[in-house]
Amino acid sequence: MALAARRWRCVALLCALPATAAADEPMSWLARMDQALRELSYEGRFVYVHGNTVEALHLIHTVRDGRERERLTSLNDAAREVLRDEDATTCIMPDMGTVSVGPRHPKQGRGMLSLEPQQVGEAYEARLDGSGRVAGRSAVFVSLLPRDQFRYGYRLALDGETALPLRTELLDETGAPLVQTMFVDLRVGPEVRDPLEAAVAAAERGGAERPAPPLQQVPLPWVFADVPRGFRLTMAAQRALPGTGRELQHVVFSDGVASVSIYIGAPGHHDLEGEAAVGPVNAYGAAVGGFHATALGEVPPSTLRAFVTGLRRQPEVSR
Amino acid sequence: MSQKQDLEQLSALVDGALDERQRAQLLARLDEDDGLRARWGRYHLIGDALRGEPAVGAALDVAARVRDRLATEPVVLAPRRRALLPRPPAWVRPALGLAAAASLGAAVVVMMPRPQPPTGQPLASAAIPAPEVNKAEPAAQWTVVQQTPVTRWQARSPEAGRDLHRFLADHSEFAATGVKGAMPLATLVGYGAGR
Repeated sequence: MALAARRWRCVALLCALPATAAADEPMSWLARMDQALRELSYEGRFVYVHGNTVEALHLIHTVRDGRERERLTSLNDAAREVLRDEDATTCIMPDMGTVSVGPRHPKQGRGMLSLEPQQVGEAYEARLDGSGRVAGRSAVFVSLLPRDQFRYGYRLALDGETALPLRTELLDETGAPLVQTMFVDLRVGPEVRDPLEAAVAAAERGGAERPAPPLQQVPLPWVFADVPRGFRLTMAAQRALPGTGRELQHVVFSDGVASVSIYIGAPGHHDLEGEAAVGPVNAYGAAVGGFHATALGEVPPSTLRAFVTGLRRQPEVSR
Repeated sequence: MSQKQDLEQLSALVDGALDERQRAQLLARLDEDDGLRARWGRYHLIGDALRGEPAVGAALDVAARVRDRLATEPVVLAPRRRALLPRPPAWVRPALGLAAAASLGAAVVVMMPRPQPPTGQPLASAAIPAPEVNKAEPAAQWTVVQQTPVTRWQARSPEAGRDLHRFLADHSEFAATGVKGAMPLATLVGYGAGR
């Protein structure tokens, strides 16, 4: 029954795609993956390789009554953990002694496809690279090749049955892997349950957490003069930097796959000047017109530099 | 009572810092307020995880304690927590403005405001000229290459690294969607490993 329902969803998804995407097989696989990641319950252990570091992680994603819950746990050293449900994201870093709890990004539009084939197609060439076997399952290989040097590429091995990503590679400008993830085992189906789910549900029964007060919606007095091709504004808001209370303007751009955040605020004592990196995530910071901007994302440093150096204060809305 | 005051009181309760009258008042509010009770349960889950206790087992146990003791004898919880956890440094509270975190020792609990959907801000963008196409040729086989072994921000000071980590945690919420799935979260979970 569940399988039949899933197939119907896939059929419905394909029907919902624009004609150009429906005819585009690799893009259809990506759309299926996008939906499977959100709508299926699955659990498995996977390895995460970046540089000379290998991490083992455990992921449980469940959907109950249309509500998603996700828990990602490190199996090495301290049990670092990220829990996400529709109300909050909780990051627990026992070894760092830090926890962050934040209300989730609103799900506007998540009922529909969050992957926009047209936007992705502008920035990447999607290609089908044959089939094979990964994590003991049949897999279809799909590549997203960047159309310019402002973004990284992706190589994905998607489960032939469910379209879940069994293996992912983030590729640098030369096509070499920056980061790889690969499931070593994967269970899919409504029987997948998170033992923690019942615990949290019991602890939180009777009501969700109070919603955070809405963000202050103010016009942001900035113009991005040099937005790399394919990136579009997805979010702009005034907010406080988590953990410090510093008021910042936060702007997010996306090319349909990669996202870049730009945080703009008054200069601080620990501002990043120049480039920094952790794993595949780059950051670039610089002073801009009496303020300081830090850009961050899984994109090449030159892309972040383009966002920041193109930042101009807009005189007419200056306060 | 404001939400902030509620949270501070909640922290003080877990910390064993409320007097008898304040404790009784807050426990009564806990009994009535679903949202406050939900947050209380979540803080205890976090506390157990931070102390390195097995998350699932601890969570199940905590959930049972929350459920049972709220229904019967909730006052017992405060002294137990006090015995388990030392008081945090004084700077933790003002620095965070959310004293609930302080009950978790060195923990930092950060409440982020809810991000809003796109609102048509006056952000003009001018696309720069399209550079030459630089297509990465698909490799025939999966390969692992050795890159710079960076698992922590290479920042000039620990404080600068912490700021960048806050940016990373915040940004991951926006990045871990669509094609990328949980990959950005894996970066976050892997952060600090390999020390």
